[in-house]
Amino acid sequence: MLKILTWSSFLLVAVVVTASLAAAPPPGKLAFTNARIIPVSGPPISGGTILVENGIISAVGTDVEIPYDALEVDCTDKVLFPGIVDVHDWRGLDIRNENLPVTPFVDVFDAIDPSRVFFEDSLRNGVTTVHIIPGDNLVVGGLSRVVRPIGITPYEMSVGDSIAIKISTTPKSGYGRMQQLSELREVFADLDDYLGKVAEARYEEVRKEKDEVVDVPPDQARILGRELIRDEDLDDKHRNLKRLIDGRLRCWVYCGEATDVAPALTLLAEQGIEKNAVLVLGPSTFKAIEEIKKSGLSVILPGDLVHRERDPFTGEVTETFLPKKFYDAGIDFVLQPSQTGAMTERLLTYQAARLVREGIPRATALKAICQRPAELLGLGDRLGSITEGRAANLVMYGGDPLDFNSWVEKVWIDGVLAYDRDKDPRIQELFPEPEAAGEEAESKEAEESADDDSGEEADSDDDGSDEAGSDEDGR
Amino acid sequence: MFRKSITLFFGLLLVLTGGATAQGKVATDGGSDTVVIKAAKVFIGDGVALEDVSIRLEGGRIQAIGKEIEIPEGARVIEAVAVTPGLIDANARVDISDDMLSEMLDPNALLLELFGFGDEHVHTGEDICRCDLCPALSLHLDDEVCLYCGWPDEPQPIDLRNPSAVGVSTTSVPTEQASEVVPHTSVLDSIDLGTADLTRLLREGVTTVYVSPDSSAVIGARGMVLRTGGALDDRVVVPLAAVKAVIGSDPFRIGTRNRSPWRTNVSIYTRRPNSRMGVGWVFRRAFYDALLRSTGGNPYGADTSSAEASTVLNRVLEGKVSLRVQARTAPDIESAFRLCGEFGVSFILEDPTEAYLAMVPIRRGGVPVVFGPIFDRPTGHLARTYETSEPRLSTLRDLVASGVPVSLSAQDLRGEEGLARQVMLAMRFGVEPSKALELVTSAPARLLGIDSDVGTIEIGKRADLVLWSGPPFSSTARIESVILGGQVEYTRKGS
Repeated sequence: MLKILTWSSFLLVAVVVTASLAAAPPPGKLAFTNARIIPVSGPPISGGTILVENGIISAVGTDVEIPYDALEVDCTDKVLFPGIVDVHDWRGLDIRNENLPVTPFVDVFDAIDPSRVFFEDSLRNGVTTVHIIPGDNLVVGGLSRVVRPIGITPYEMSVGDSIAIKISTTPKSGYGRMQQLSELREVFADLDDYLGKVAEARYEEVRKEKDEVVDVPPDQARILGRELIRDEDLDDKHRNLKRLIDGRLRCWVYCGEATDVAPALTLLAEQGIEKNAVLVLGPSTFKAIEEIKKSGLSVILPGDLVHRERDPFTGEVTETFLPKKFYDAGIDFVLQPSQTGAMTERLLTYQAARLVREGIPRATALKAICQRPAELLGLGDRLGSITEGRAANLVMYGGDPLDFNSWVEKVWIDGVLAYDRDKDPRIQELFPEPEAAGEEAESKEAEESADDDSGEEADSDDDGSDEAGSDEDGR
Repeated sequence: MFRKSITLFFGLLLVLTGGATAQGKVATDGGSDTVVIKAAKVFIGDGVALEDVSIRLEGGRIQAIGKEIEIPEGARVIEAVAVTPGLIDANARVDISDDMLSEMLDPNALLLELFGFGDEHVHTGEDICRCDLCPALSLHLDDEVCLYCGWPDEPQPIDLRNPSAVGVSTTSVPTEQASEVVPHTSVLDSIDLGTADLTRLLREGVTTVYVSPDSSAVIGARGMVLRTGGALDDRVVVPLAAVKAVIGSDPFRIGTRNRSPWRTNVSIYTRRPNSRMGVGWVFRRAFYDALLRSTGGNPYGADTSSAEASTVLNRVLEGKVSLRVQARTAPDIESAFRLCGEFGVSFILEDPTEAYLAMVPIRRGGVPVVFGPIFDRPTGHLARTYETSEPRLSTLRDLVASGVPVSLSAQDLRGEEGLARQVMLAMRFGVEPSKALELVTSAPARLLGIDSDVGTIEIGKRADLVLWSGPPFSSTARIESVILGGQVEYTRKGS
């Protein structure tokens, strides 16, 4: 019964989402008026207006002229925030990692399931962009994809082409560090060998096309032919790896422990792909903060922002709040939601609030959940802030986004209303409106009688120390 | 209620007159242990908030509250943005083994690892549920969502090595397993007063806890009330408190000699009961035995509870020892009312996850409720019963509105899910901020019968206070210091 309810409510959500996409094409012009705007790229604006034309923000400010044909959305007492970017997530896939250790030939696009509860929940929490990438249990992973949490097919959801490939210097489960690194080196050695063979063949082929004889020995043809290699000459595995070393795909390197950072940096330098690399860090990696700072790479912090460690000698437990370490070291970082923690930590706004709690400036905290992750994905000019020319991904909050009592009320993605809390069947079911006033009056009466009961209860607890305890009730 | 109002009235009277009267004679030691807190806002813990007041603490007690109170020479002055009473967790599961960081292996996870199944197998559940290796196999049917791993609805992993994530804490105070009826045993004999978990609770603002035994016996041990800091010999507040009973599946599901997931047949090596019927019978039988013994009879048969147990249960029947009943699902809550009703025992309802389905008996019975932690997963798979798939987010709000005395507990959760964050969640899910504070201060103090001593900031009460950097319980505020018995027991590093 409950299950049927869950599924029917899910279907309802799917219908609401898709209906809003399919039935209502983006209105030509939208004007969000009287809003408190937190653009993230600049200081907040009170009583501001955002003008959206064809899904793109065309003007932001207090003195924006509203065109006569614009649909006005009154945002009095509301806060408008840029759509949040979930920069690193495997959810939305059926499983996080393939069994094979090296899988650059797979693409998450084939496994994205638009009906996952995860997408629905992302939208509910104000996330308008999700970067789906395989989990961390791998040597070399498949292609990642940036999607919007709306749409009924992966095509509809996709924002552009594949973005990155993940590699890991932390051992895959069942592996040791030696095997992990040797396999990783093997991947690139094999790629080099393969490219050499293809280059030789291509060199001969091109010479033949021009009716010229092959005039160089094979080892030289292997070098000369490199530039002649086209993507279609390669198989899936090597093509994607070549895109990686050519810098056409970003390289996301997972370093679960501090000791995994140095090999990662060495590998990136060997392949000459430092410029396109991002470090996905585990909790203890703050111990390698000097190396990370020297490398100048962007980092993604783990969802669990606190590292706990017990001193093996004294037994004392120390807690380290990672963002503070990175902030103090002057390293730019991006936050990701916790995947196993409480709801609190799964909200990126809450993760940002924790930063403010620990004394990191609010602007830095806000940037770490929308503007910086968008830049990390190479989409900084399209997403991540409320600025002219960016996509109209807007989240309407009832109050300050970092206040845990504020709810996401409405979400627009590319100027289309994608979520409305009042029409969210799951919220209505899990968090229904309070009962009517008449019934409350009844319960008031109950309260009084109940209070009397509790008095007795407390008293009985008071006397509760029976024969064994009555004479030594130390209170 | 009346008594409390009077105290509060006098407390406020003193505030208004700027009174600085000390109650009783307290050795001041030349003012060296005197602490004065100047706070922008003080939340008394009973729905009242004062602005710009100072609190003087002396001899472990609150001696004065007012806008312009006398500050003795040599007193330590602390400035604070906001002050609340020390928080009270009325149903804490304290980690006595001091082992929260070592790798704790769930026996099920250990088994899976022995078979060579990695995390990804366990987490997706796909292989496990269908190939008879899911630890939850015995708990779900084929066409249902797996309540252990959430498959197929939820690909969300559950870390099996983190028992709190799956709801079975291996480290909280274990109940004696010699019998299903052990109310004559006590947590007092098991607790390590110096456990690091108490220190952790203190850092999170919790100054008093009710330490509960785990839920593996039908009628388990007696809990106790503890302070989380101070001298070890001064930590026990109530050494022998309520008896814990469990109506539900826990007694036949957890415990050291219960049926294992891979050994489904009941044998002489497994404990009884094996079903809810059995739990109900053990509960009833224990009270029948007690009644029989109280009239001079001598119970006999296979499952007779011990005479010592009957002695304690007779105290429960007389109303001199209180009874706490853990009942999570709606049918269990109904059973708790029915079973206790049969013997005319009043009780405290613990952890009623599905209370929203049983509001009628709860309201009618008017029993005090210890609710929490709040299950916030939208799909609810992690609700620790494994048996309820849709706990409502509105349950606590509705319980508070129904008028029964409600306290909020985080049980074994700490950190971002700890008691302070539970209050934050409570506010998000519809509980008024002033009421939310009461759920972890004055309400549990009344429930535990220690409200004359702690629970609110009033003159004469113990100086257990929490100092906040911003609005208490807000997501951007942190705990700066915790004061226990007038001593600053914890100050955040760097503040």
